[in-house]
Amino acid sequence: MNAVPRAQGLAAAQPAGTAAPPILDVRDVHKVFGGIRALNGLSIAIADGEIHCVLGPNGAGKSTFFKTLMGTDRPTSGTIHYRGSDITRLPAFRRARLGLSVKFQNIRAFSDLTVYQNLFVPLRRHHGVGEIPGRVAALLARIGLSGTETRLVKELSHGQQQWLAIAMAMASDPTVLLLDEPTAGMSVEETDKSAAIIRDLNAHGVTIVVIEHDMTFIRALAARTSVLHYGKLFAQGSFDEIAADADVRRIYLGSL
Amino acid sequence: MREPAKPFGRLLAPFNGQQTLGNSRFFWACWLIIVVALVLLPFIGTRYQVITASNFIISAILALSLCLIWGFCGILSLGQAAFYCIGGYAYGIVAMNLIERHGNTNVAILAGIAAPALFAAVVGALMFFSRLKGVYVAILMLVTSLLLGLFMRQTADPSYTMGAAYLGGMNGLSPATANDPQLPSIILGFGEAVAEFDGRGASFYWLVLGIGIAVYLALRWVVNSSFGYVLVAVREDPERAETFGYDVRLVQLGAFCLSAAIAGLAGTLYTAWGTYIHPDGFSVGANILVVIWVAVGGRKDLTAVIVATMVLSWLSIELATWGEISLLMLGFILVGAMLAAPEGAFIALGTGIGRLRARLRGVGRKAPAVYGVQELKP
Amino acid sequence: METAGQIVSWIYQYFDNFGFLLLAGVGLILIYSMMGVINMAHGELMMIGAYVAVSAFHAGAPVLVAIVLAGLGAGLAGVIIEQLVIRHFYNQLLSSLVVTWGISLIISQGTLLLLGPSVMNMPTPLGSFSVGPFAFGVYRLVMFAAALVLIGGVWAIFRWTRLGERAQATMENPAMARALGIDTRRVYMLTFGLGAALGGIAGAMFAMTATISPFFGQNYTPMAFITVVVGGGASPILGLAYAGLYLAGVQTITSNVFNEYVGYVSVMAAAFLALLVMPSGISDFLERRRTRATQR
Repeated sequence: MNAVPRAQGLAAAQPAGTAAPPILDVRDVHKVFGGIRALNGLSIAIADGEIHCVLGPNGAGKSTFFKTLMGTDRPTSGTIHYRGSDITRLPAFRRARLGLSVKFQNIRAFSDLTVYQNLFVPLRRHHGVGEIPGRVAALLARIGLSGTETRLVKELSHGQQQWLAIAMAMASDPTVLLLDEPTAGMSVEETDKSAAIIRDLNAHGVTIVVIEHDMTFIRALAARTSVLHYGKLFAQGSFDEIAADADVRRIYLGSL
Repeated sequence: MREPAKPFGRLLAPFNGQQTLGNSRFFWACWLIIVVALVLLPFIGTRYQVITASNFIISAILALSLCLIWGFCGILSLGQAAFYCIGGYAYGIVAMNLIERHGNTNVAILAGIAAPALFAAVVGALMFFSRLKGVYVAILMLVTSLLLGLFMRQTADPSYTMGAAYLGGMNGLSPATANDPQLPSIILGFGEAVAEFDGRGASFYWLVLGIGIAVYLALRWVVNSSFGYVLVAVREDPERAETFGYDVRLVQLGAFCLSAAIAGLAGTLYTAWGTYIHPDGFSVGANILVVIWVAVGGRKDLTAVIVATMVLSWLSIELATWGEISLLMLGFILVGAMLAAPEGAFIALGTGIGRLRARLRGVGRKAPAVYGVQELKP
Repeated sequence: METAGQIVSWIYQYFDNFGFLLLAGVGLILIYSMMGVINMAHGELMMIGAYVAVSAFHAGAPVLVAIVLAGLGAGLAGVIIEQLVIRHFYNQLLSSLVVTWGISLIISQGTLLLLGPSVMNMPTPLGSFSVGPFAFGVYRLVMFAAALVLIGGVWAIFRWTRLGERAQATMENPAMARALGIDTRRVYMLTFGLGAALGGIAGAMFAMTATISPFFGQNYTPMAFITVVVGGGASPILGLAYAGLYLAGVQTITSNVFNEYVGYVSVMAAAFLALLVMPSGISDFLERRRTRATQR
């Protein structure tokens, strides 16, 4: 299903010599909530097939950036393009059907549904009913939650819910996967495992954008990194360049 | 998962799941006993009891229609009785016009279901596609109901006729002229082979009971089906459901129209039951009653809502013998129930019974068997 | 003189309708914007005010005193309701809607039981003036002025008093307000009481133009709700004023050109139309426009 637009994207690629167009192109996006400027002229391009990490101090606008990408928040001004077409005014469900998928910062699984049903909801839009039990089993095996199908989400531990949220975001076979703090509350082993899953998805052609605070995790992904500050792009480069940047260190007194 | 896939279990599987209380064999055994008792009621009860029971079942169907949208889709309508009355008027008007030509009320029943569904489609499309807040939807539905009632009240002028039917203002729907037929009760069948179900008789009671059971089972199936999961997902977090590719507005609109159709079916049965429909059905009192049944029962469970409707309707009649206090008491019951058991008094009762049974059987605190997974496996 | 009278009549009706919507809506929108509770019992609080005013008047109190007593009576009822019930339902929009509806049923049915279905009334004060063949009651203009005074009063309370300061802090961030030592429970209680008192005063004023019965409130609530919904909660007073201006205009024109019923339906249709364009009300819409403008 999602292989089709991807193939078209390749066919429509620019002639040799020019760079391929970005899969997501955010231009001069502003977002104001009741006087607070969450995004203040953010421009950022996500290349097709990359893993892209987004860093920034609290309140830099990272989560708002994801919400405007996914369409749950409309930018006050500015444009967002997906494979060259303007999606700024597209509602979230249309973006989801284009192949965007998100795991929000807080878990937001459906707590009155079982684990199986939680995965059923995203799977059903993209797959026949007959395929779903197999796909659920495969997803659960991948995140290590096999055997929890009939449990209600509210009965799971926080860490398990975090894994379920990631699996729900993966369930629709996205072309672009947005992960907001996927490793929050995870142990070191679990963090390694999620890095492995992300790299594996990426190897299968999924573009991945990750918001994270865990520096070892980002280093493990070895991804292009953007730093947001006051709702703007502050710096961009490889993780090592960013880690060495004095200005980034100054605004972001993390354990770089 | 405890229940093995015996033929009996497989038969019930589509109706069981996480979204309904009462999935055990014990529950279904009790259910069957109650249904049998209800079927036998005309042989043991008085004629008055049978007529009253017909009315209670009709009320329960109306309550189920609100339970579907409020409990499972998170859309509260304070004007659910509007759909009920639109159904009632549509049935009455069509039946009075067609009864002499057709000799049955088949088309009228369809009209009683379709008219409120169409009305809901128009009003719902306006509300859901403008992404109106839930409270605003609730209030606008009440205002819509009151306006329709206001309109129907001022139709006493003889010019308000639709073919053989005269809207009649406060006197209710009546024949346009002395030569036109009276509002008929339900007559099913074709040509000569018709069966009449007089609202005062046992046959009407059995018909209503059958329809009530069918609606109950159908809704249990719907909320435990894949559409039901989507409904619950939309109720819990509409924005998240949308990011999975669901057009939440369409899901809400679909549930809203289905709910209106069921309310219309109840209104149709009510009109046929009393061969009478009146603008008071659009009033605040009628609308609040539906909300009380569902809120006191527990909006998130179909069975609890039915039981609450039956108990509260019975209570209203009992209290009426003490004077005009039944609505006052229902008001206290509503406020008291919402303070003591915000999820519904009868849901609390149901889960209590479930826990007690589990403890008696030594199973511990484990939730009852879940069929959600088995059901979907090919 | 005929045309002049006609024109005055329309203008008069417009201000009458406008004042009606403002009076009916002011207490409701105060509670909605401050506490996130749409109080379905607002009409019944108005009914309490109306009964208090009429009883006081017949007991010999002057009209102004009767109105003040009505405000106190309804305000007290509001505080009691808040303490017993509403405080358990903050920020649960749908549940508070249902529970306050239950309260409205209790109050109206309780009144019916206590006082019976008989109607009461009191005379409309202040006489009338005439333009051409039309006669106009002075009192309805006073009602409009009173609506403005009440709205101005609410605005002043929130702008200049300590309660206002605390209420605004509570509205913006209850947790932070509590941390700063504001007794948010008390703020909510007083706000609800104030909203109820405003309803009581409105009820007393309406009582002088209409007969009152236990179901008095039901005649006013639908229009009050529509005004509040169209106004939106972001900036309650401005929202109420804009919604009143707009809906009163629609009502005056359609009920004159057609009839009163068409007038009601048109207000409903106009409300729907407004909500299609501005789903969270006029004041939220304007707020958003303003932030967009300042951001450029």
